[in-house]
Amino acid sequence: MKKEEGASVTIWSKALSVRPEWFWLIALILIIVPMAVPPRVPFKVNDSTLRIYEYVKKIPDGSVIVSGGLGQWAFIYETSAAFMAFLTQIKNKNVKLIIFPLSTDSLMFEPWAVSVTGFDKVKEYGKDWVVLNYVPGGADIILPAFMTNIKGLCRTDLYGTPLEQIPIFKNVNSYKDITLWVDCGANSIPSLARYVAPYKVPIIGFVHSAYYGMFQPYIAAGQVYEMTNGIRGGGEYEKLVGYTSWNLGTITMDSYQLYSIYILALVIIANVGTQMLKREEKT
Amino acid sequence: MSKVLYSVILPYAVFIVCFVPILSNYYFDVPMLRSIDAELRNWSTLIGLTAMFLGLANITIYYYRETKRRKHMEWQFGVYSIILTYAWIIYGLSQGGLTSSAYNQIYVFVKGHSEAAQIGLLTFFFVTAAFRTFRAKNIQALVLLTFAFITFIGVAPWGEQVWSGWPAFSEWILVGITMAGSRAILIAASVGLVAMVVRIVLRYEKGGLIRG
Repeated sequence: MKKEEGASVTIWSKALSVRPEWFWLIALILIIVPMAVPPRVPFKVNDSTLRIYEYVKKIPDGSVIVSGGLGQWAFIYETSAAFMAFLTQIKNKNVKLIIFPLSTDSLMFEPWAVSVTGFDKVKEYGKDWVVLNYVPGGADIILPAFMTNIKGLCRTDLYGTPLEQIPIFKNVNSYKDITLWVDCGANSIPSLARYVAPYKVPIIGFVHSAYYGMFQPYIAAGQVYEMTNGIRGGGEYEKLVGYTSWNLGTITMDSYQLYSIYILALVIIANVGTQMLKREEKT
Repeated sequence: MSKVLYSVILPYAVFIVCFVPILSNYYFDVPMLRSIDAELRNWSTLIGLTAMFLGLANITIYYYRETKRRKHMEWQFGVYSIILTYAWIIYGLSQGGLTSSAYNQIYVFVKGHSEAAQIGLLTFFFVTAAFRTFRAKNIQALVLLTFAFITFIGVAPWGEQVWSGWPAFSEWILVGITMAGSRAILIAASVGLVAMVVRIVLRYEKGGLIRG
């Protein structure tokens, strides 16, 4: 009996002292393999994502949507799946899109997403969509000015064309002309709730999953209409729009499937191992 | 006297001149206040723009000094940083700035992907953390671990295959329980911010506006 206990101590202590590089290697394999051979795991669509999809679907013709968010490129990747799905959904609708970046990364990311989804192929620049320049000063300064006087804040678009010469701005001057505000910047919801929500412009956020729970009070308070939950929300949105050109969310969900099982297994093994070692130490 | 004027009276006067119209404009709809508010915000944008040049000058001076001293082992990174910053600026300007597709490609495929890779490393740290630190050593840790995994698995598609109510349960934790905590933090932080502003206005707060 004693010999057996000694053997179990060796196994657990050995298991708990395995070099982390081995775990990383397994994680890498579990992430890459489903990306290379996607099993397309089925998953349900959350009510939040469904509400966003339905809302965008019902947007009337001629609506003006502003896409403005601030965030780091690294975090934007998680929200880009939902943003691309959104662009895919509005691509065939008669709506106008104004990209108003609140950070330098957004300035590069949003036109990139437009190009990746092929939005720019079916819509005419200047008439259906436009990219405004990044205005330094921070969201606290820029957003109130933008809401009250767009042409006063942004004199030209990204390419230096005066806004007066751009057809989209013929009837767009302030918050009164904005139908919907979309945030693809992962964590810009607090700024938008503070400076966009008071003007009764509905806000839809494609947020990082780490912020999804944290930003819920803004929905409960009626300041934000709805949010998608990180990459899972992106996958759900892709499913609703019939998949996008990249399917970033769906592919990531396949990897996440195996990765989450792996993490759970590691936690269980580590906890059982610790308890076993403790028990052995006591005896 | 001049020290008091420059370090106390002047910053405070500038603060009050900017603070009062902007705060008043939020509560009262007076055209004059609105135009002052707009003007001050425009100034702020200019200051933001100037700060960018100041930042560039600052990192140049800092890394130049670090490189000259060679006191720390990391001085090579300073040289690398300066070369990269100026190469980026010169190349961007020569290519036509943000409108150039070459510049955009470099930004997306170098800067964007480097940032994403950096954050992606967390995936592997999380694996190590799962094995080394996520231990249910007491009841509190067990509760924390349980709730973390309910939401973690709630996102994974296999969670709903095991139990169809899992995503809804996970969502309830995020939208219900987490929201209660987040709301408390947000309200407390906002009240704290108001208190801090009042302290600054009444000059109880040392530092920032009042130096020395």
